[in-house]
Amino acid sequence: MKLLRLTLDNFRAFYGRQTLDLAVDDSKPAVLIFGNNGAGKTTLLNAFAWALYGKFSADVEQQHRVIHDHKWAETPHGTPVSASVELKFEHAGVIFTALREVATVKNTDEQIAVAAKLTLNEIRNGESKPVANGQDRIEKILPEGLRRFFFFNGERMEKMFAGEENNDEVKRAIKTLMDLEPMERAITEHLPAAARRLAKEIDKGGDSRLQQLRDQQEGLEQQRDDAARRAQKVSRDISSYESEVREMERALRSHSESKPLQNARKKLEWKINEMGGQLQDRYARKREILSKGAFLAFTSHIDETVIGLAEAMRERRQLPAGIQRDFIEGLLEEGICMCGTPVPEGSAAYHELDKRRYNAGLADVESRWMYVSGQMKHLSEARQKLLDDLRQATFEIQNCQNEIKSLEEEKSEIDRQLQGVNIEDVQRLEQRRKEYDEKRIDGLAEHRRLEERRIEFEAQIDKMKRLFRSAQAADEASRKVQRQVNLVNEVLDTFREALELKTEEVREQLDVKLKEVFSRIFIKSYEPELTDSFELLLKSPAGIAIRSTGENQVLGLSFVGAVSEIAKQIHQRKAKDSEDIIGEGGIYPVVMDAPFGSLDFTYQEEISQALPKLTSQIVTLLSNSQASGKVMDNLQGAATRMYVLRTVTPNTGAAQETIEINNRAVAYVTHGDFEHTVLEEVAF
Amino acid sequence: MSEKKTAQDVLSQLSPEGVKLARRVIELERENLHIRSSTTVVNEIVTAVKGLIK
Repeated sequence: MKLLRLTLDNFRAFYGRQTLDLAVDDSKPAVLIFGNNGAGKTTLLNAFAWALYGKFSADVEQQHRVIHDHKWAETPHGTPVSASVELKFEHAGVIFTALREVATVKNTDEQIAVAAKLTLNEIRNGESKPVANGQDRIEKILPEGLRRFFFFNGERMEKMFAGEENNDEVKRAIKTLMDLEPMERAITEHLPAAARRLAKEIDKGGDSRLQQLRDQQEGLEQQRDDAARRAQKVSRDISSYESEVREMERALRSHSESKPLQNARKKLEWKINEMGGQLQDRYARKREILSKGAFLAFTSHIDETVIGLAEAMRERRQLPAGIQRDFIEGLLEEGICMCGTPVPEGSAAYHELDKRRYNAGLADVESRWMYVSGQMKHLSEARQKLLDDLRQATFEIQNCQNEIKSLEEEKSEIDRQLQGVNIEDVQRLEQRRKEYDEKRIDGLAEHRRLEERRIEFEAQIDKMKRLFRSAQAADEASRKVQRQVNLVNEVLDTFREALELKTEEVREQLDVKLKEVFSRIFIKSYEPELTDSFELLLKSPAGIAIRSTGENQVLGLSFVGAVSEIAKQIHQRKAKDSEDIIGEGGIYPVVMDAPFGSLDFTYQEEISQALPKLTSQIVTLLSNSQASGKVMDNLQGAATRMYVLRTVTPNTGAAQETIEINNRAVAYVTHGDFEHTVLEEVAF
Repeated sequence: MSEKKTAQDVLSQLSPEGVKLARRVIELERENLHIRSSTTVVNEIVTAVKGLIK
């Protein structure tokens, strides 16, 4: 696969039509694209993958906004609007154009998600024609599962080999890139089907021995396929049981690790609850104190003044003592004095008695005052007590609140530590773990049995084939069919053995190349290894290395480089000697954003030197800071073309910038009417 | 010690008709690799075999 041209139409940050010419010289395989942060480097990287697969990488935000914002905004409601990316590439001598497009009629102010449509055309002998199942064709040229090896962000390279399906992916990548898939498909599908079809042509009235052998073989093949299918299903089940067991073990581990924390949290929750109760009690106590004695707070000084006044009046004998008031009232009512003198109302005697009644009232007052003054002497003490009680209650409330706050802080810390921990019941977890583990063990046993049966069937099928091959056919027509079936079986058996050997040969070649590329870049004495089961390891003198982000990046680059280089070598060898039946290999481009990820300068320099040698075509997206000094010299020396992503911004407060390329200042950030990015080729 | 057998060694042991069929099969597979379930390939293999062994 060779990338030829990328055309963007109102795609994301790119307004209008922008074209990126990707054709490179063999000796200068690089296309360098410079852009500052936010200029659209990630968008451009995604444009390649979007054109091919219709999907953005997960780190792209607002994925529904495919059409440039300004284009969308300036389009009147009810009017059609679209955005597209067209990738022109060449593969196995055929030129393809993959056009991915979103087209809609604007009915809302905000963009809504629109399904992107693919149109794939192939150009053979100067004639262009559409490919009906374009996505399938692309999938066969560069499967989507492999996009992470060819269109990637250097900063996220460590994720390239993450995941449990890693080995299968690596194996698949190798088979696709080394062009071993056609042989695999012939073995598994088409040659056995062709042999069956041919064998069926033995006439019903023809050779009964051959017919019998053919039927027996077909029966055995049926049973073998059933066993293989069942084994596949069991294998999938085993994987899922294994992952369940791992999940349970993880939960159990985290449970046992977190048990002291969980206990501490429970204890704290109990204490907080307890303190909450105490706090309520203390509030209630304070309320009681206030309801019973709050009035005392308002008696300060008044009581002392009143007592003082009363005492003074008493000392001045202004508070009279004497007869009871109700006795005088009785005399006045009867109209006769206690001495027998009549006292009619209005008389002088009546008047005199009435005056006495007033004085008798004052005596009541006096006795009350006597009582109150006695009580009032305690008021000051009571007020002091009220104050003390309130102080104590407030103090206790404050203490309680402080205690609760401190407990809650403690609990919050434990909550943080327990975040994400599965706190299912241990017994239940253990039970489930056991169940899945038993299922896994049963599955493994069944899988082994099925594999044994499959191998047994295979041996019997081989025996049938041998018998079929050597059987003396009764008539000429049957003999012809016999020879035809034998020929198919000869190719089938040879392919089977050759594919097994070829896969191993490629793995070995790749392992050697991987070691070579890695040691070119990496300074430590670590060594990568592609194991028999296609697992990618990094070994240190102490054993399997614990890979850092940087080491993973170098390992990822080395793997991509090694695969591309081997595929290229096979392709070149095949071109020279077309006698080889299998493994055409091929050439594959690498498109990478931030190629140096988080690597330090030494590695940047090594990689900038190694990168162009790894593949036939490498499109590199860089920021200003990633391309300077020796790194820039290395990259520029390997480049056929260079582009700048010029940021246009209406923000006149932002400084206009230039980037220095070949001792020449090239516009990098400029002012304009609206935000967009312009792709400009730099002559050098 | 004998050298390890290679895929090419195995393929080179094919009969002349076997080589011709093997080439045709790979060619067909490559042409139709993008079609998930291809009946064409089986038909074409059968035709090729009949062409080789008449």
